[in-house]
Amino acid sequence: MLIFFIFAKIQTALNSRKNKMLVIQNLSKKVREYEILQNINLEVRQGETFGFLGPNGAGKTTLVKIILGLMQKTSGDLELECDKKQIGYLSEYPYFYEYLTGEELLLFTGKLFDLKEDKIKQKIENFSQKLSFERNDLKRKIKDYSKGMKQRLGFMQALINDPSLIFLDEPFSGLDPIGRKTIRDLIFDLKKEGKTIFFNSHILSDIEQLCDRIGIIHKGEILVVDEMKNVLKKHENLEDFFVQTIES
Amino acid sequence: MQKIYLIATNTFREIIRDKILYTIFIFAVLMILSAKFVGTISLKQEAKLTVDFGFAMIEIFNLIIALFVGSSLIFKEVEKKLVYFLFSKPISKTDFVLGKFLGLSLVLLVLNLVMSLVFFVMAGFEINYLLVLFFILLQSFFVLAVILFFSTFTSPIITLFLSFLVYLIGQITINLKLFALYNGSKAFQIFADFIYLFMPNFNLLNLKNQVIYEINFNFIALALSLAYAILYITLLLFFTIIIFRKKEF
Repeated sequence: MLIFFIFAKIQTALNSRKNKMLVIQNLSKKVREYEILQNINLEVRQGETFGFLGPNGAGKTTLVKIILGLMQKTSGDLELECDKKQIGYLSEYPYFYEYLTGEELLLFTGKLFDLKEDKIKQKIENFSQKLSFERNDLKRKIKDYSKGMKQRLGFMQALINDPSLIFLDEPFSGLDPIGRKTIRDLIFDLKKEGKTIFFNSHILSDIEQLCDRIGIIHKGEILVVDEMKNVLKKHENLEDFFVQTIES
Repeated sequence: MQKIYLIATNTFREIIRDKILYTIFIFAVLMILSAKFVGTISLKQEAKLTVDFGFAMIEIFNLIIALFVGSSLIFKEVEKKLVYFLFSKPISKTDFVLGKFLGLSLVLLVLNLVMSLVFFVMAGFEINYLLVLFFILLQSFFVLAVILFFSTFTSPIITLFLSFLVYLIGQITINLKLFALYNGSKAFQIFADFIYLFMPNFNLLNLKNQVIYEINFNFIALALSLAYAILYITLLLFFTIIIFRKKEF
C-alpha cells in the first residue's frame, strides 16, 4: 500500500513537471547594486498562453532576455523543457538585416535552425498567406518595409522553426487595426495548435482576449500570478485589476 | 561549421551590398592604375617605382577597407539590436565572431583578387609579385583580427584609432628595438622589448623591398612568418571570443 502511495506521488510529481514548459525559481538579476529582478518564481504550463504584464521598466524584457540566454541571471534556477531549436522569439524591436530581402531573411533564419531550403520556402508560402504578405513584398529589401510589415516579418521568422514555445515581446506594436486582427487570429491559431505562448504586452485588451493566465511584475518583483478567468470574475476588466495591483 | 558559414556568407552579402565599399574600391583601382603614371616621372626607376607604388596602394586600401568596415561590424549588430534576433536562435557567440571574421576576410580576398588583376595588367605578371600580394592579404587578415578584438569592448571610433595605432606600431617594432638597443636607456630598451614581444610584427609580412631590390627569398623564414601570422590571428580571435562571450545584450 505504501509502495503504491509513493509510486503514485512520484508519478504525479513527474506528470506535473512534464506539464511545465518553463520553471523559474528564486531568479534574481543584479546590475551593479541595482536589482532588476528579485526572487522571481514562475511556471509556464505546456500549451497555455501566458501574459506577462508590467509598467515600463518593470523587468519584463529582462526576464525574457535571461530565458533566451541574451543575459545571464545572477542567481536562481531556470529550467526550460525544450532547447533553443524549439523556441520562437519576436523581439520588442523587430529590427532585421535591412540589406536583405524579406525572403532572404527567412531563408537565413530557417537555415540557422538547420531547416532545408525547400521546407523553408514552403513555410514562407504558408505564412505569407496567413499574414497577407504579397510575394513581391518578400522580394523587396527590408529597409523599404513599413513598421507593420517588419512586425509581420518578425512573426514569420519567429515561427519558421515551428516552435513549441513562443516568446512575443509587444507583438502588437506598430500594427494598424487590421494588422492587429491578423496577428490576434494567428495567435488564436497557435493556441489551437497547442503551442505555449509567453507574451509581454501593454495592450491589456488583447491580453484579456488571448491569455489563459497572467503574471504582473512591478519593480522587478512578481506581484501576482493568476488564471485569467479568476481575474475577470473578481474585476470588471483586466485594466482595473492591473491598475489596482500596481497601485496597491 | 554550418552556422559559421551562414554568418560568414551573410556578412559577405552585407558588405558587398554597401555602396560605400564600391566608392573606396573604385578609388583603389584608380590609384593602382595611377602607379603607371607615377613610374614615368622617375628617372630610370620606372618599373621599380610602378611596382612599389602599386603594392603600397593595395596595402593602404586593404587597411582602409578593413578599418572602416571592420570597426563597425560587431558594433552595428549590437547597436541595431540585431543580436536579439540572432542570439535567440541556436547560434553561439563563437560562431558569430568567427563568421564575422571569415565574412569580411572573404570580401578582402575578392577585392584583393581584383586589385591584383589590375596590378598585373599594369606591372606585368611575376610569381614573386604574387607572393608579395599574398602576404599583403595575410597582413590585412591580421589587421582585421586586431580590429575585431578591439571592437568587442570599444566604440567604432576608438577601435579605429587603436587598430591604426597597432598597425603603425606593428610596422616599426623591429626598428624601435634596434634603436633602443643602440641609443636608448635601459628603461627604453625594456619598453622596446615589450613592444617587440607582444605587438604584432607586420614587418615579417612585408616582402615588398625584397622583390623590388631583387633579394632572394628565404622560404624557411617565409614559412615561419606565415605560421607567426596564423598563430597571432588565432590568438586574437580566441581572446575576442572570450570577451564577446561575456557580453550581455
